[in-house]
Amino acid sequence: MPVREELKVPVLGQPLRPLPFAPVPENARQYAVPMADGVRLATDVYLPGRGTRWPTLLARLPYDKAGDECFGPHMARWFTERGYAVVLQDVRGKLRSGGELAPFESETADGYHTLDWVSAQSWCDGAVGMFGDSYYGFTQWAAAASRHPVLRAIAPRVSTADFRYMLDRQGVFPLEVVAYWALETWVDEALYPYEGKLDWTVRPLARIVPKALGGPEPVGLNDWATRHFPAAATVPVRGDIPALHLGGFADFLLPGQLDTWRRACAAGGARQYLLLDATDHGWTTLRKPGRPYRDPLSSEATLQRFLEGYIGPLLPFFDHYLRNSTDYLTAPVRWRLTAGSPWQEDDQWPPKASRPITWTLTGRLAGGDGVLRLGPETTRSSASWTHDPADPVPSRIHPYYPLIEPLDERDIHVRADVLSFTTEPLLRRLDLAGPARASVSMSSDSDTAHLVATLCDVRPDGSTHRIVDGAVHIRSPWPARVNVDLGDAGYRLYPGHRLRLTLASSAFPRYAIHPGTDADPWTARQTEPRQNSIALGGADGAYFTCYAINGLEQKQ
Amino acid sequence: MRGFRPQPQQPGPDRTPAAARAYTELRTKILYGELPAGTPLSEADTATMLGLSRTPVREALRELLTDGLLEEAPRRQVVVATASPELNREVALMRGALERLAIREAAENFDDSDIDQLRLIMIRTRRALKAGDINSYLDCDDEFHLHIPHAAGLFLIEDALRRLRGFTRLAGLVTGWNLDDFERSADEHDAIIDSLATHNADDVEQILIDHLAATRTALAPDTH
Repeated sequence: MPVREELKVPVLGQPLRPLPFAPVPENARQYAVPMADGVRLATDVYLPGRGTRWPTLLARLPYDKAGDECFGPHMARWFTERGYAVVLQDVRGKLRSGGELAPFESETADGYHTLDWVSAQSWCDGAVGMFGDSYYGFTQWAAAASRHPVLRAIAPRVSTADFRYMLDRQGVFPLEVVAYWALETWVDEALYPYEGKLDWTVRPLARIVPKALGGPEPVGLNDWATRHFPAAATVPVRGDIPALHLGGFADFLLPGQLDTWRRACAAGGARQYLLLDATDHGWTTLRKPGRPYRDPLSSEATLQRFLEGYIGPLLPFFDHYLRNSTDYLTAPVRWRLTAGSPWQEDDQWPPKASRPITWTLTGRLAGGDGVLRLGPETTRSSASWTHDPADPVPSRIHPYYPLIEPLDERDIHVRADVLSFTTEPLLRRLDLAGPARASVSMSSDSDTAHLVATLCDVRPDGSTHRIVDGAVHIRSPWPARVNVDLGDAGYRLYPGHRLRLTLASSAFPRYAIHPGTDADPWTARQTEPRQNSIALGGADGAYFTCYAINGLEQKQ
Repeated sequence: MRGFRPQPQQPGPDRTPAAARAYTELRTKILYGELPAGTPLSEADTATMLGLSRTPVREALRELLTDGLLEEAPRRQVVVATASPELNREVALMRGALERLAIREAAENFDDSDIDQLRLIMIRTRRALKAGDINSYLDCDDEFHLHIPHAAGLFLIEDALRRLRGFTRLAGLVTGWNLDDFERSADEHDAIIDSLATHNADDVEQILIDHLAATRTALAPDTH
């Protein structure tokens, strides 16, 4: 069959199509490591300059083992200079590795066979640790679940052993982050050139990503969006392997991370260390307003400083558990609310000093002047708003890295379809440190509804900074009592600042929009405006609870 | 935004010398069939097309003339070359001679990583085949055949083969490719890898000879 006619003839003057992935550095040895079914995975080995056998650190990732994006070659250099062999691998179906794209499905088996291969190499001294973030934190839990004996310790960051935490918030689909993740991870980037931009006006929602790809659908996305979570997205959590759990207070996966940490502690058998920093999913640190963001890759000095903060904490952990060269006398829980400040130490989370504080939601609401008040409110009232799926409440916060460019959302809080409740200016510092929940009695003229709760810091100048948020899918009969889980807050409010909770029925594109009909939000084409309301005051009034340290006395 | 982190900040200015950039871009356009045989390439138009000044373009055109991918035409024009049957025959002879030398060295010297890199090229080869992406497939094919002298440390052979493979690509643009031949060729590459892993120079040389003969037949069925 001659195929000459099918040769693509692009317009002259177009730049060369770039390789979809970075060239492998010269100092890496490349291997094609065979898995159980014969599929081979592209694997880079970095060895220290001196010695013959070393403890080995492994990361298995879908984001380009040789790219700058995840600092792979930079981390390899950092660790090899400190006496570790480093092995970085593209997971199955991704980039240079063979096999089909299959998120979650084969990470336990592939982890086992990769550990097996590593431990058989002449340069491996028999002790292997794993490290990495997000999905390549998940691949650590999956490899641990394989029970390969050579794996001695893991250090998962901004990650969880239960990826349903990424794919679902109490029945609401976290559209923006999962759509980007699917678009940029679970397609064959060699085949589908795309601009990396999504058109959020496309309907139904299910067409947004295929449209950006010119037709093809990412693997998994339709299942996830319609709540068909693969069993393999949840791996059993081992407690008998030492783990350093690194989490960020501005990371959307923190609820999943804490759940995994609790499971590991409960399972028992090995020490679990929790480290919580004022960072987001990309380990961007929280900055004072006005301080510019610096890309870690902007200079060699910036990169080295970043690496010290990013992987520095892993070194004493692995030195102890992989080479027994040092003690590791670290508190089980370390946390801090501002970047660079000393670690607070504890043996539990929330910290012992942290106590739940409850605010009642009261006040007139249109125009954003509802009140968050300590103590109960006996006067009963209600607040209602129109949820118009054709004009959803916008979300401005970046789904992955809210701290790179934290955006003011005060203009959103005064929309007629947003209920906004704010405290008086704080007289003393208030450190939020622990779970945040909003408890609400909701009614709707639809059979089901969404409720989105967002917690913000309101600065003296009126600008806002989002702290945490949560969303819940609610079903009749009305009124329905629901708890919106905002995850765990870790945030310092300064005197003069105010705390604000907003309630709405949408935050788009952060969450899929409720169509106002019985149709699935993912495939709905028709939408209908709906009236939603909540009860305020009295026994079924709405309240908000968050763990916090000092600053406020709880009035009874 | 891409994947797990934001796009790193814009890379600095491309520090590749302009002449090298012009050479690589033009060579790729010729091998991809974007500039078919006979296309005239004037210095001025080419410079405009590539967004470069005339000096580096002049250098690149001269180098491509030396490679044989461009040729002189009447009225002092430079055009994309047309591969003659005589030239293709000579290319086949030279490739055969050089690649046989290289593969014998490879069989004796290759370590696991050298061999695995061929396997990694084949993973991308199969993916390009599945997508029907002919140019990516042919790039992988070049990479496979050039990796053998490269990893064996035979840089003169690698250099000569890169030039010779340019002619092979030109010939393919004229005769057209056959997807079944691609599948067969990929299977033969796998056989070469398996044989290299046994480090038996005689065996792998014979597999290579058969592979090159089959490719020659596929490329030039009429002159066989």
